[in-house]
Amino acid sequence: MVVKEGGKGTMSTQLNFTENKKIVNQMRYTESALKEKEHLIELNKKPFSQKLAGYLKLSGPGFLEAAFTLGAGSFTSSITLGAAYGYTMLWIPFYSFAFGLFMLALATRFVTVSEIPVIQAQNKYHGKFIGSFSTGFVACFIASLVFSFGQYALGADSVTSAVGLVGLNIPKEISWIFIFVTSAPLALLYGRGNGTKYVKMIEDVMKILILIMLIVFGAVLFVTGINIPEMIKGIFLPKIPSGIEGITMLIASLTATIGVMDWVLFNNAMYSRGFSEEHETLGRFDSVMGGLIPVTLVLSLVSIAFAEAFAGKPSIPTSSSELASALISIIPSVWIQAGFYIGIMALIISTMIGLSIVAATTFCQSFNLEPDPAKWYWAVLILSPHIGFLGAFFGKPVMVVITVAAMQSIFNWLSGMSWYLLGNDIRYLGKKVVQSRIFNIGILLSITILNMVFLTFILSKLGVWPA
Amino acid sequence: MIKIGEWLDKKTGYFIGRVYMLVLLFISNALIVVGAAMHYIYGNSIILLSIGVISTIICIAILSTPVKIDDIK
Repeated sequence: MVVKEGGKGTMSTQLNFTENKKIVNQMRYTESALKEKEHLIELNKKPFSQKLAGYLKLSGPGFLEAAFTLGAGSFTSSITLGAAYGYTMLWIPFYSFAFGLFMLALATRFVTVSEIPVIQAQNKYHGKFIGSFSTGFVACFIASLVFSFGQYALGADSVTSAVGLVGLNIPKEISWIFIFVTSAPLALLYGRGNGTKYVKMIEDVMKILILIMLIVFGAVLFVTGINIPEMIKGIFLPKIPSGIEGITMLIASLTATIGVMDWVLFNNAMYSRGFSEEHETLGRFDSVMGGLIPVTLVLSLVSIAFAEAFAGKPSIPTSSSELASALISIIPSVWIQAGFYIGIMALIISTMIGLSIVAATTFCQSFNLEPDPAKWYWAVLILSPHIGFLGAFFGKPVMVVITVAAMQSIFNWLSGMSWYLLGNDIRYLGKKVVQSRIFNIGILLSITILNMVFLTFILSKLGVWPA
Repeated sequence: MIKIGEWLDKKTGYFIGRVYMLVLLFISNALIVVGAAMHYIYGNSIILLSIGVISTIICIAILSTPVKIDDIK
């Protein structure tokens, strides 16, 4: 067990920062994590090119986070925006994730400075209602169960369609099994063993799945075509859609990419890897190289395919499955058609692994259970989001999804405010509290977006804002 | 007059100043959403929306003030 040194500090009140630093989870630093820490100290002294290569090799939690973000929700949002608005809305995933980077940087600060997992810190300083209940149980655990229905519905649909290309007829009621057998065993491996071997293995799997998405969705663009200048303009120059419906779509899309579950998953993934003080730069690097860039690229490729195929045309399909089928009908190569479905499967499998990890780690933090894969409850928690297989039979339980989305809207902004306060709390972070005004502005802009999502949701329920 | 930085981290009642400012930020955000609905849907004046935007900017400017750590040993 490794206990970090802590400095005793005073301001107007006695700080208990030292006391906090002594509360160490015994699983926190494995031997391999300590070796990585020493390697990182050496790496930081090397020239930029060697440092970059070394950081890429050590990266992982960012890719895990990106692969989790790339799911049914962000896919549907991207294809709908692409089909409806063409290239003009490509900036949404980029800017949405870029705002989220401030929260991910805050998550990195929490992990690298304090020994207390973030939800337990929220419990300690802001009460269990904010920590265990709002952030851990509702916004992460319950949401991971409910949002899995949509993943299974889309995943099973893509498996059925893919095997249909070779003349096989496997109904969705059976094809969901493929999603289960490819994602559940991998998720069960996460955290096993004494070191970080399996944690890194899952991160590598996520990197491969992202690579598959990039290759297959890139191949689709060979058929549909791509306008590079329009793409660059679309990604980097924000254009606000006109009218109230456009604004509503904008607000919804901004949160489809990154929210509380993403912050917590990134936080917990770094925690599992044993990130320490020396890892802060790596964590930030990882959130950009492993998170922002892959997410922007994959969602842009998807959005461009649909923009090229449908933008400006009359009677565009409105549901994601209809849109996908309509796109497939204009792709002549069966290989690229299959690739497109494989890309969707990669999206779903990676998200299901992420949902399992979120469900297990947040439940353990919320109820103060040891996050030990050897314990019986760990497997139950890892498998709990797979209740979503019912989505292949009945689709999304719309009312349940709306209810949970409502609860998430209510609690997301509370969690965001709690994280901002923790980032500025010397009892939690000591001298490493946020000292940059720009960093704080980024966090506050993220909170503002969460506030507005919650408020538009309330107004739409009152009937004064479009649903 | 108390400095903003000191007030933000001074405990008043149960909460520090940052919590009160976060509540103000939330109210300002509400003004934006309500103002946008009134302007774009019901064709009313843009004043409420403008007040919301300006007060949100002010709240963020104040809340972004970092904690003073000079006194920590």
